[in-house]
Amino acid sequence: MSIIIPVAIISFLLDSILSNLINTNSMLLPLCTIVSLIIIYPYFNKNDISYLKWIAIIGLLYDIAYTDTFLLNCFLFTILALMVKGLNFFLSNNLLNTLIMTAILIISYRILTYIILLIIGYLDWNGMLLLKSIYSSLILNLIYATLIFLITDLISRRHKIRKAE
Amino acid sequence: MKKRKKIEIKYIILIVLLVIAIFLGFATKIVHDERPLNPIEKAIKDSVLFVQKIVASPVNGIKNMMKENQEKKDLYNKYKELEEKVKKVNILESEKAELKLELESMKKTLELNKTLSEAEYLNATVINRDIGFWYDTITIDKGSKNGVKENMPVIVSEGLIGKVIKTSNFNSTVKLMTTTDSSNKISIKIALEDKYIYGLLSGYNPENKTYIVEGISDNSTIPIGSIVTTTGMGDTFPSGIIVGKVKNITTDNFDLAKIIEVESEVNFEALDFVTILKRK
Repeated sequence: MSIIIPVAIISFLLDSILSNLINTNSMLLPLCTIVSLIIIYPYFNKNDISYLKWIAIIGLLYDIAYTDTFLLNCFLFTILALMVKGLNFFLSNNLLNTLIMTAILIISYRILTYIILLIIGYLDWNGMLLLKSIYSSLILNLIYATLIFLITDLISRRHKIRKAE
Repeated sequence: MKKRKKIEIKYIILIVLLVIAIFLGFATKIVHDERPLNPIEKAIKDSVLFVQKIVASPVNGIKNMMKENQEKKDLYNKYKELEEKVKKVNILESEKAELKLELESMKKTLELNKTLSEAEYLNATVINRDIGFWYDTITIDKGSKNGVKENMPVIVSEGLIGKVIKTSNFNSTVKLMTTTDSSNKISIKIALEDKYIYGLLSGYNPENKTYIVEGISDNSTIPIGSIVTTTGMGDTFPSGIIVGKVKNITTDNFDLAKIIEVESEVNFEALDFVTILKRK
């Protein structure tokens, strides 16, 4: 928990702070909370139920504080958490795999949100906008994933915090 | 054994489909802007954004300092520009007094109540900008405790930016005009030399970054650069708020009606401070 709680809180707050510093039309859209889903997973040491509970709560907070939706991101984050669990089954825990998972999760999150909003009639079809939402979210979040992975890895080694490999 | 497994898989698929259907039905209700926040949501939102505001304050302080430094570099040019403007202020003041009298008498004659002069201004700071990407919203640090209500117009010095769609006690969500949501229609007027032409702002084109105005009620020639303002018809926007300037004029597929592209001078990508127009 000494890694999980700070990473979750910092990432959650960073989403909002960075959105205020960076232009909304730039190539650097923050999705730090989604990056944190990947980073914190190994620190649950295969306790998947506890991990899913955490992610559902983070999703619910994201819904209420940032998007004014209710349970939409809670549902999406839980699906992403299941994807992280599945990907961790195939990929070992290292920087390269973390970056691959970050890219997969961001793409999945954008596509899933878009499909839901399209089906319920909130958005009209615009493939270019979907593409833009994906590519403009990748750069900043891959950088953040690299930094947070290296920092948490260093801390866990120094303080001998157990994490699943 | 195999048959039993097949039946089980069928049930699982059925349950998954049912859950997705219920979720989509539920999502239709929760995503749309008309849904008011319940007291628990309001409390959580206010608490989270309060913490975020405290954490973000040093970052915002540095950002403002950098902005100030940049502005200081242009100080002399701005001073000269303002000096020129001050010379004209006296003339404008007397003109304004004259026009105010005229306006009062006209309003009495026409029984008009909804003009811009009857709104109270409330300044607010933007806390976060469109985190969800698809929703075209910003969150501001003024809420129902400050007298903000749903559907109040929000402006910046360059013109209209949107309206309040959700309020909690100390924060509000503003739906921006850049939304592609087709239900967001506003009655507007285009100022010509001697008259106004009325139309309907029916959407936003994200590629050209222009509003689309349809339903033009007049065949007059509209010069490029004409100023577009709100008409005050409808309940939300008072008359006279600047929307933008005419950028391009085309006709529809049948060559019957005009379609006007209006360009706003607002930089929607970097909104920091906004003003809410409160009704008196």
